[in-house]
Amino acid sequence: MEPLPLSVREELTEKLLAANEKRNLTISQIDAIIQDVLEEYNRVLVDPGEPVGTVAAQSIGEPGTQMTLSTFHYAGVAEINVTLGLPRIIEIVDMRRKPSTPVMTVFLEEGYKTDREKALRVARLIEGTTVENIARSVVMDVINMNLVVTLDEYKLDDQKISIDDIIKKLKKVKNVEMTQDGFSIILNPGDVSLMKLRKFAMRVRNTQLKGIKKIKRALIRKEDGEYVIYTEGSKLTDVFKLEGVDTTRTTTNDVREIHKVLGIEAARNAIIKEIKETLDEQGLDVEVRHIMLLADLMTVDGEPKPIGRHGISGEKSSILARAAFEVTTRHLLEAGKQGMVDSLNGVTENVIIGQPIPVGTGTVELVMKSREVT
Amino acid sequence: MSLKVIKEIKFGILSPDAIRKMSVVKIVTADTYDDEGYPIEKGLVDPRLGVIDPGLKCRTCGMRFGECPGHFGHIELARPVIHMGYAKEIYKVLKGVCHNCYRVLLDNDEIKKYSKRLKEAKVRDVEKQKVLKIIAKQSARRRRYTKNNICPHCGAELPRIRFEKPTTYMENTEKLSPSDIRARLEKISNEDAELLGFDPEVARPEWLILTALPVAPVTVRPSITLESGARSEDDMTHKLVDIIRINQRLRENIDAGAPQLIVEDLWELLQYHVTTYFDNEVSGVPPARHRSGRVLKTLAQRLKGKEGRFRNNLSGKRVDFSARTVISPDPNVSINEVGVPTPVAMELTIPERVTYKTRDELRNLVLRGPSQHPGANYIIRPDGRRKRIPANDEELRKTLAEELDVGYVVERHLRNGDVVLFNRQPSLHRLSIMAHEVRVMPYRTFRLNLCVCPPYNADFDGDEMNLHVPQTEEAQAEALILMRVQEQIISPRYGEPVIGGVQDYVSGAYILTRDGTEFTKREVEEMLCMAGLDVDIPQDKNLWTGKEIFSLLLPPDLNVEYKNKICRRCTTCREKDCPYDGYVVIKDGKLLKGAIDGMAYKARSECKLLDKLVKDYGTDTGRKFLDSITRLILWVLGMKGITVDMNDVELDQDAKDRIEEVLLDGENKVDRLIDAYHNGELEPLPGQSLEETLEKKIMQVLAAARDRAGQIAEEYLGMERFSVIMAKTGAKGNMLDLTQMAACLGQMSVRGERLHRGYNNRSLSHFKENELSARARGFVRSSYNKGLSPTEFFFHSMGGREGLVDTAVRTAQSGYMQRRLMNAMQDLKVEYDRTVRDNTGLVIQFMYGEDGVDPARSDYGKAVDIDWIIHKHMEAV
Amino acid sequence: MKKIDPTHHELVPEHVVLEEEEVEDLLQIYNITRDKLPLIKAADPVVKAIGARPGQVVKIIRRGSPAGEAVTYRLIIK
Ligand SMILES: [Mg+2]
Ligand SMILES: [Zn+2]
Ligand SMILES: [Zn+2]
Ligand SMILES: [Zn+2]
Repeated sequence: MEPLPLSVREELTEKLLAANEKRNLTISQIDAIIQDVLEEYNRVLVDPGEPVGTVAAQSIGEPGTQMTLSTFHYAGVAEINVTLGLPRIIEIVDMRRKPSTPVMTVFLEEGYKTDREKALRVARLIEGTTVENIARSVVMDVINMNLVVTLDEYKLDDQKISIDDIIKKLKKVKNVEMTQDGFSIILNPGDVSLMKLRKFAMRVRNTQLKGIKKIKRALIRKEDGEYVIYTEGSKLTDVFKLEGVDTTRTTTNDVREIHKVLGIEAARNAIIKEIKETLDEQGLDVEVRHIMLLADLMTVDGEPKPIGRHGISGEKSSILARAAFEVTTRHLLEAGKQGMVDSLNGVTENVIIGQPIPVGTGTVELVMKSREVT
Repeated sequence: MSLKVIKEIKFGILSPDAIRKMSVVKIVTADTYDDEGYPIEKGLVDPRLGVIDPGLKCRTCGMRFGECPGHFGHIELARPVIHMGYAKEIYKVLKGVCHNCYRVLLDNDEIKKYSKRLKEAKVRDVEKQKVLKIIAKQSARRRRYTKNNICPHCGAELPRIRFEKPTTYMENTEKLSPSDIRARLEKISNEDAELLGFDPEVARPEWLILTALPVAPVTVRPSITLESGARSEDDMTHKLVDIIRINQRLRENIDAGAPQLIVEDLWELLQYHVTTYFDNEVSGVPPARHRSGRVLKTLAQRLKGKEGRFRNNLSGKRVDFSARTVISPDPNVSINEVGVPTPVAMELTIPERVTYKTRDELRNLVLRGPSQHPGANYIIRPDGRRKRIPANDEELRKTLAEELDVGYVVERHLRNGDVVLFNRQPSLHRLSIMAHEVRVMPYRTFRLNLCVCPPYNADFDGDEMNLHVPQTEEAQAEALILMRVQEQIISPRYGEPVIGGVQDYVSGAYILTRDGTEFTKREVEEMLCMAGLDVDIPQDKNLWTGKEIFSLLLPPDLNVEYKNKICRRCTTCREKDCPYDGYVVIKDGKLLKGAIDGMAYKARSECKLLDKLVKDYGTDTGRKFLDSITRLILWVLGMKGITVDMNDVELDQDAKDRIEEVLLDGENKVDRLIDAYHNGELEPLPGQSLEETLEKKIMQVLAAARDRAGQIAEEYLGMERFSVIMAKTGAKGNMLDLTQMAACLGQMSVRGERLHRGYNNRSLSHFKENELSARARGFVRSSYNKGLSPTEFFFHSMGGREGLVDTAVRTAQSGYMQRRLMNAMQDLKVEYDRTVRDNTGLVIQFMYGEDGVDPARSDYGKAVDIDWIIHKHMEAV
Repeated sequence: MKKIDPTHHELVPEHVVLEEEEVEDLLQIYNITRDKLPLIKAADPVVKAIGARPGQVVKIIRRGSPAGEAVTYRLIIK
C-alpha cells in the first residue's frame, strides 16, 4: 500500500482530533478510521498504464471551445489590459518570447507596504519615462538640420523632472550643441545627412529619463491592507534591485522571465499558476493535476519548452509521429539522410503501422501459447 | 493470427544500385496503353509493375488484384539530377568539404572533438541535432574568411559557394553541374560523411544526386476508366510521362553530339520535371499543371497536410463494422444503452464461436438467415473459409445449420446486450466515445438517454452519431469494463459528474419535490411502475408528497445536507427552517426538507447528490438512480406539465413604470456626463484620456441602470412562472435572460466598446454625427417582450454578429491547440511505480499529480473524503 | 545594491543537492539511468545560489498543491 500524502495525513489528524473532542473515540475506532482512509486512498490511485498525458491534453483542450476570444479584458486593475481566455492559454503553451501583455505584480516590504507615499515613490521609480512620453512634440527642422523638442510643462511637473535633468540625459546620448528656449530644447547635431538626423531623432525620443525601460505604467492599489504595484511591462531583475520591493513575493506573468530570474522550478509553478488563473477567470473547472503534468512536461529539459512544432512535438523521438504532426516531408527526408531508426514505442507510430498502442491495456505484453486444435 | 510485430523502422536513402535491384522493369517508353487497350511493355503501366484490373494476375508475383502490393520499376536518367528535397542539404555538404581533397573543412583536433561529441550525443536525439548544426556551421566558416580561407588538410584556397534556389550551385562564378557535384560527393570518406550528418551505411552523400529514378508501382497510381471508356491517368503517371520524354530527348541529343547549349537546356528541363515529380509546391518553381490547368498532385502533396496520407489514412483509418445515423432521444433506454435500428443490427455482425453450449442457438440463427432480425450473415468454417448465408434459399440454410459444429464461427446479427462503442464528433475528450449496450429497436435512428447528451455534447436537431462493434471477446470485455457509460459519470477533467439531469429533468425534479406537491396512491403506483421501481409501498397511505416519492429512489443510509440552487442566499440562512425549499436535508435516505434541483444532479455542475451516490455507493447505484429518476420525472411532467408563454415575462403596469423611471434616470445621467465632457468639466481617470474616461463612465451608468431594471423585474417574476422555475433551478437559462425579456436588453457592444462604427462618426444615419447619447451608441432600452425599435434591432444584430464570428474563430484556434497538446502529451503514461514517463523512459513526474490520485476518482480533486469516513464510523456506534 | 536570492522567493521550492549514495539509491528505486532524470541547467539561478555543479542531482521539495508535499529530482547539466 502507498503511504498517505502529507495533506491527507494532516487533515486526518485534525479531523480525528475534532471528532474526538465531540465524542470520545476508542482506539479501535481510530484504527478503523485510519485503515479506511488508507484503503480509500489506495482505491483512488491511478491505474498503471493510464494515459494521463492524453487525459490532461483533453482536459485542458476541451474547454477551449467555451473560452472567450476577446483578447483584452479588464482584470484586477481596471486601467491595465491583460490578455485572457483562449489567447492567453495559447500564449503560455507557445512559450512566446514575451507575453502580449506583460504585467508585474510588485509587492512591497515591511515599512513600505502600508505607506501610501512610499509606495507611490517606488511606483514612480518603476514607471519608465522617455523624452517622447514627456514631450509635446519632437520635430525635425530640416532647413536648419535641427531637432526641436517641446516639453509638456504639466507632465514635467507630474513626473517631477526638471529641464536640466533632461538636458543632462540628452548630453549622454550624444554630446551636441543644445539651446534651451522656454520649454523647448533645440538640438543641433551639426552637419549630418537627413538619414542620420532621423536616426538621431529616434534616439532622442526613446531616451530614458527615469524608471525602468519598457515599463509604460505603474499603478498602486490597496489589497488586503497593503499597497501593491501593478505595472504594464515587465522587467523583474530591475524591479528586484529597487529599495522597498519585496523580492520574495513580487512576480510577473512572463514565464520566460521568471525562468531567467528565479529558475526552472519557479517557471513550472508560474505556468501552473497562469493557466489555472486563466481558466478560473473563465469559470472553467480543470483539475490542477492535468495542468501540473503539462507544466512538468514543458520544463523537463531545464528550460521552458513550447508545445508544438518548435518544441516538444518537433523533438519527439519517433519520425513517423513527427511526420504525422507537421512538416511531413522534411522529417522523412532528414530521417533518410541520417539513417534514423523509429523504435515504435509511442502512440501515433503504432496507430500508423496498425499495431496496438503501448498505453492502457496495451502496456501489458502477455502472450499465451494456445494449444493446437487438432 | 500471426504474432509478427514490427519492432523498429530504419530510414535510409535508396542508392542507384538499390533502385536498379528492386526494379522489375526498366521503363523506356512514355506510352501507356496500345490501341487495343493493352499495357505497353516497358511502358509506364507495364504489367510487371502490378495489377489494377480485377481478374488479371500480376506478371511478377502471380497474385491477383488486391493481393499484389505492386512492384517498382526504374528510369535510367541520361544525366544526373538533384533530388530537390535534399537541395539545401547538398549546399551544406558543398560548403563543408574541400573541393580539392574532399575532406571536411575542420582541422584534426576539431574532427576529434566533434566525433566524440557526436558519439556521446547519440543517446538523446535532440543533442545530436544540436551537434550536427554546430558542425555544419563550423565547417563552413573557413570559406567566409577573407584571409586564410584555405583547407586545413591540403591548403587549397577555398572558393565561395552560392546556392540559387531551387537547384543551382555556383562556385565563385562557375556553375556546378549535378555531375560535378556528384563526383565530388562520391569522394567524401565515410568518416567525414558521418560528421556531416549522414549514416553512410544507408545514405551516401552522392545518393542525393539521382542517376536512376524509381518508378512507383501502378497500384499507387491507378488509372481510372471514365464512363466514355477513355482512360484517365493518375497525376504521378502524367509526371513520369514528362520525365521519360525529356530524358529520351536529352539522351538522343547527347548521342547525336548536339551543341552544349541545347543539352544544358534539356538537362534543366529534366531537372524541372524530376523536381516537380517529388514536390509540386517548391518555392521558385512554377508548379506543373495538367492540360486543363489544374495543378498536379505529386509525391509530397500526397503525404502532406490534413488530406495527406499521414493524417488522413495512417493516423485515422476507415473501418468496417460501423454505422452512422441520426440520433433521437428516448428516456426509456438506460444511460448504459443505445437504441439500434433493426436494419443496422442486421448489417453489423459479431463473430461468435460455436461451442457445445451455443451450438443450438447459433444453428437457429443460421436457419433464420440474414433477412430476419435475430439472424446471421456468414459462417466461418474451421479452415477459415467464409460462407455467406443465403437470404432466399432455405434449403441451403438448413444444410449450413446442420453443418455447424464446434470450431465454427457464426457472424450473427447484433442483438440486445451486445457491447458497442458509440461516438460523436468532434471527439474532444475520451467521453466522446463510450461503450453502450445494444437495444435493437424499430425505425431508423439511434436512440439515447438524455442524461448522456452532455459528454457527447449532443442534441437532436439533426445530429448524427457513429457506432462501432468490437469484434473480439477481449475488445468487448475491455470496452465493457473501461468504457461503459456508467463508469464515466464522473469526468476526469474535474471530478464532477458530466452525465446527469438536463433541462426538464431538473425543473421536473423541482416540481416533484417542492412543498405542496401531492399524489394519490393510484398515481404513485402508476408512477413507480413507469419508473421501473419495484418497491413495496404501505397500502394504508393514501396521500403522498413528492418528497416521499423521491425518497424511494435513495439508498436507505444516505445523509446529505446542502443549500440548493433556489436558495435565496439570505444573509443568515435558516437552514432546516428555510421557508423557500432552499435547504435540502436528506436523512437516512429520506428527503425531509428542500426541493431537488440543479444542485442535486444536473450534469456538468457541482452536484451534491449524484456525486455522492456515485462516489460512495458505486456507479451501479448512480446509473440506477439516473435511469429511474428520469422516467419518474417524465411521468410527473406528463401530469403536471411545464410550459412557457409570453405571460411568463409580462410585468404589471407598476413594474413597468418603475423600470421606465430607472432607465430614464440612467439616460439623463449619461446626458449630464456628456455635457460635463463638452464643457471640459470631466476629470480624467488616472492614466486615461478624457474620451476613455467618458466612455467608461457612461458604460458604468448604463450597466447600473440595466441591472436595477433587472432587479425590479426579478421582484415581480415569481416561482409561479415556469420560465422562472427553469432559470432558478438551473434547468435552462438564467435570470439575466429573463429580465432581458421582461425589462430591458441593455448595452450592445462590439469588442467591449459601445457601438460607434458604421457611418462617418456615427453608428447609424438616424443620429447626428458624433452623437454620444445612450440610444445613439447601442443602448437597447426595450425588452424582447415589448419589442425592439428598428435602430435597436440593428444594434442588437451587430452584437450578435460578433458572437457568431467569435465562435467560428474560437473553434479553429482551440482545435489547433488541442491537436498540439494531444501530440505533445499522448505518449505520457503512468508506470507501475506510479511515475509518469514518456515513451523514451524519461521521467516527467516521480508521482503522478504528486499524490498519485486519479482525478476521476477523487473527491473534487481531494484524495479522500475524510469527513464521510469519520461520519460513517461515528454513526456505526 | 540589493542582493537577490532566488531561493527565498515564494515561487521557488527548496532545492537540496543529493549525496552520491543517495543518487545511486534514487536510480535504483526507480530503476533508471541518469539520463532519464528531469534536467536543470547549471546556469539556473537557484543552482548557482546553492552552489551545485553539473552532474549532481538536486532534490526538490515542492510544498502546497494537492499532495501537501512532494519530492522531485533534477539532474544538473551544462
Ligand atoms: Mg446539434
Ligand atoms: Zn505483383
Ligand atoms: Zn583540401
Ligand atoms: Zn437559504
